[in-house]
Amino acid sequence: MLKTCKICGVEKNISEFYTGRGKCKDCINAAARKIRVDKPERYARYRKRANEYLKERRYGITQEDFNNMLVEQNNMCKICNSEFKNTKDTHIDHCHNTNKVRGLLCNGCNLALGQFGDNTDIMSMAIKYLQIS
Amino acid sequence: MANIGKGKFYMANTATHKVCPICGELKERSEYWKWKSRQDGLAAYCKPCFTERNAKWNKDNPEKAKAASIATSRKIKFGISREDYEQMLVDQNNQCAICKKEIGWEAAVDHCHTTNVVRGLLCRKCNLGLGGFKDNIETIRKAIKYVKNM
Repeated sequence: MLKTCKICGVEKNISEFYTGRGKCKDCINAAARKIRVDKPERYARYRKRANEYLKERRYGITQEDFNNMLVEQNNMCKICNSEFKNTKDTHIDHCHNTNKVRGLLCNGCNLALGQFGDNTDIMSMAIKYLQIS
Repeated sequence: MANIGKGKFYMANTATHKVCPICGELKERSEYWKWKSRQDGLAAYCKPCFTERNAKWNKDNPEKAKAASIATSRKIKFGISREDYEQMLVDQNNQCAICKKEIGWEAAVDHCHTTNVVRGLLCRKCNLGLGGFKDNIETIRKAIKYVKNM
């Protein structure tokens, strides 16, 4: 099946369109890319809304909860007490069994907890290993 | 071309030129890679033939090629030869030094970031975990408390 794009006017296969849209995928994506470059403020607003949505959907916490947690922790990682320089440094840590949010961590601590599988036995073995060598 | 003799085909034929036994062309010395341990100081084949031959070998022996490339990178990064690595594996009973999981050729070489001394062989996960906590014992103790409190 063929369909003509409203913007570029080229006849294209239906697989080149998102369902129910008169503009082809290339034109829509090009416009989005243009906003990202030309209007960074508007793009930042989009990203902010998307981040809030993801927080709520993944961990069930609102932006207000998040801000409260930041104040509670003095803008520091809960484990290694390193300071968060911007919002990208914060990682929401959750228990993988109960899906409960435990706190805000820095990238390194969150990653390391995941690699050790939240297993305290392995972590105490790691302490022994570091002490011996 | 005067010096070509039987069995000496791979040697440099003159002071400036040499015949490549694969493509059979007479080429300048600069068209061969340097190879110190060979008698004429040059590789056996010219550069394009050499790369082609290597690529073909790598394609035919993917496992050997992977092992060789990892061994080379270990040698450069930590100064550990292949024999050293195998000896370390035997010393640790093919187990990760922290979580006792079974490891083999893919194990990570753990080293101290201040003194650059190699500490042992770990599985990928334990090595990444130590890196995340920045080799800090106090941080790991706090992490244990943090996980237990929840």
